[in-house]
Amino acid sequence: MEDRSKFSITVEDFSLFPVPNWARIETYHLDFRKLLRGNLSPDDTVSLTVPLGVFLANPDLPQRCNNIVLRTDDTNLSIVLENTRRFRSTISHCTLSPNQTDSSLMVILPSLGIPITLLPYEDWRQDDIDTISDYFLFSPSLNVRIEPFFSLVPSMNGDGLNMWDIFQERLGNTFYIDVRNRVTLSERWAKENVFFGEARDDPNRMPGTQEWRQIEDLHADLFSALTECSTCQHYHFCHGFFKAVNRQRDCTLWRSAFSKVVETYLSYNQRTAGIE
Amino acid sequence: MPNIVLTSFCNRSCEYCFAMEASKGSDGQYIDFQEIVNIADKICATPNKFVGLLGGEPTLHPQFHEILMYMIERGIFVSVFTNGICSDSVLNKLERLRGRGGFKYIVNSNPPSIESEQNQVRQDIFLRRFATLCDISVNVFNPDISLDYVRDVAQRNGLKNAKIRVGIAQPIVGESNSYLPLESYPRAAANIVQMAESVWDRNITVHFDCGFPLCAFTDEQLGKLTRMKAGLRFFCDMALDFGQGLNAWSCFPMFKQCYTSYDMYEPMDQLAGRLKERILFLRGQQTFGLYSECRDCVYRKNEVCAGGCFSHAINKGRDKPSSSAVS
Repeated sequence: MEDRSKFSITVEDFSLFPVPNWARIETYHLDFRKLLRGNLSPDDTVSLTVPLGVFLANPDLPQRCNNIVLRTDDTNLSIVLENTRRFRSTISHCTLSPNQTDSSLMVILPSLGIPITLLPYEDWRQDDIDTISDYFLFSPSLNVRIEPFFSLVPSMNGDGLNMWDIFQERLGNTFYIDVRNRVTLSERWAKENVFFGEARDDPNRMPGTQEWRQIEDLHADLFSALTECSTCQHYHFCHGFFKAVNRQRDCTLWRSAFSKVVETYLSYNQRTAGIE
Repeated sequence: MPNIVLTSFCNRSCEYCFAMEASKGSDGQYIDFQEIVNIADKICATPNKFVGLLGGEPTLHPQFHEILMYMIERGIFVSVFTNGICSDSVLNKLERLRGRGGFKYIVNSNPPSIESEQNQVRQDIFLRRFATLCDISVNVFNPDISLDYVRDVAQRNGLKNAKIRVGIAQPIVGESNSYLPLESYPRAAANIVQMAESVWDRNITVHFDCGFPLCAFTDEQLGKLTRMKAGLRFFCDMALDFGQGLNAWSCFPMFKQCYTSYDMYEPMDQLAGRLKERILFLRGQQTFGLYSECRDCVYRKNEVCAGGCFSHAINKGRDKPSSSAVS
């Protein structure tokens, strides 16, 4: 592996921060042992993903890392509104899961200028996805990212990020170290018990492992094995992200939302070009 | 200015109320937060970021505190049109907004003769607690009721440098609310001038709501009001009121005639344009003003005065004036 590319290493519960967290370290130096000891270089950047409760209880967190990503797994509107100014000054974005206490947050947060990322689970409600995709497409004053819809549009021209980039799963560039110091690609692969090795191992040897090759071959495998993927108009953006771990997983909900976004953008383009 | 009717519930039942009729017939009793977000988006896409929160009584909306906080966070200046009759829990929540800026309360005060003592006490608590954030509004619905009580309200609650927003109770076309009959306007005008003089020493100024015809006041009265820095307004500014269920209208007295549904993402200027067209159509159909002299009036032609609220003209023959006013 080339040592001058920038790596993104997510460490589950990074000991440098005495709070429950996921620390993402952007670094040029791929040395897991050094990182886990908290030995960071001046050009390394640290972003911290913390649950809302942890963020609220630790006002000094922003001084100790470069930016904060919020996980709003269980929260309510009032707490968010009372802390909006603090969010806007320190939170780079919020990740939302489908089981929010208040689903209206996914519209309220971006309207307040806080970017959001919807975690690509399958148990989102159709209504919620419709609401947020409509908001993304038609709101006159939206000026922040709503992922994954935001990156979908440039990907239509072959530019920008794909789903694997958005959710920090770029093989060779991103790593995830779990609490037991095992190294894998991301949190969901850790849950599947797919590990490339341990933090004390040489990272340059990891590409040779069977698990690494398994993920590397996934794109081509899924495309040839699943008709659903090979005939999907969003494969260039998704690259089988939804079905990577579980091939039985249903992604109809997301596919229809992506189609709506793409169709609306194409009709915009036609209109601006004078084609009705 | 756009207004949002948060709820049709109210803890008073003023016979002159024009808002109560307008918020009837909607599907829900409280506006949904999703609609608030979309209306805020419309407002933020325009250069003037102001909104009025109305009711019913807006503080009765279960998410009133959140709605107010949300608007402030979006950088929209909020005027809350309330009667100030709130529970302690609402007051305590509102207390947390103190110091944030970006909003004010316009507290509607009724004469003691039609307001229960209990309500007056609750309103006084509100006014004393938020004195620096409060203006007062009064509705003139009976020319024989003196407005001197406003001075007492200001004095006992320590209001200084505030504004008094004076509105005239107008007829709602096709409905049966009480309103001030046209022939009573000069008497009401005299009352208003007297009230303005009584509060002037506290640097409290009077500001007119829409619907006043210029000729209701004598030149001497207009001179006095001008010297007392009154905000005189005799023209009809088009408001844009948003209700529950994606409904909007441009004027409370004519909400039935100027009522429309809007698309969630329809830009505000487009919606306002649609309603304005409707108003202009109605106005063209009906009258140039309330009085026959309005047709040739130079003040109307020069757009100083609109000739009063033309809901009177549209409503002619179908209305029920305030019984006390008629007597």
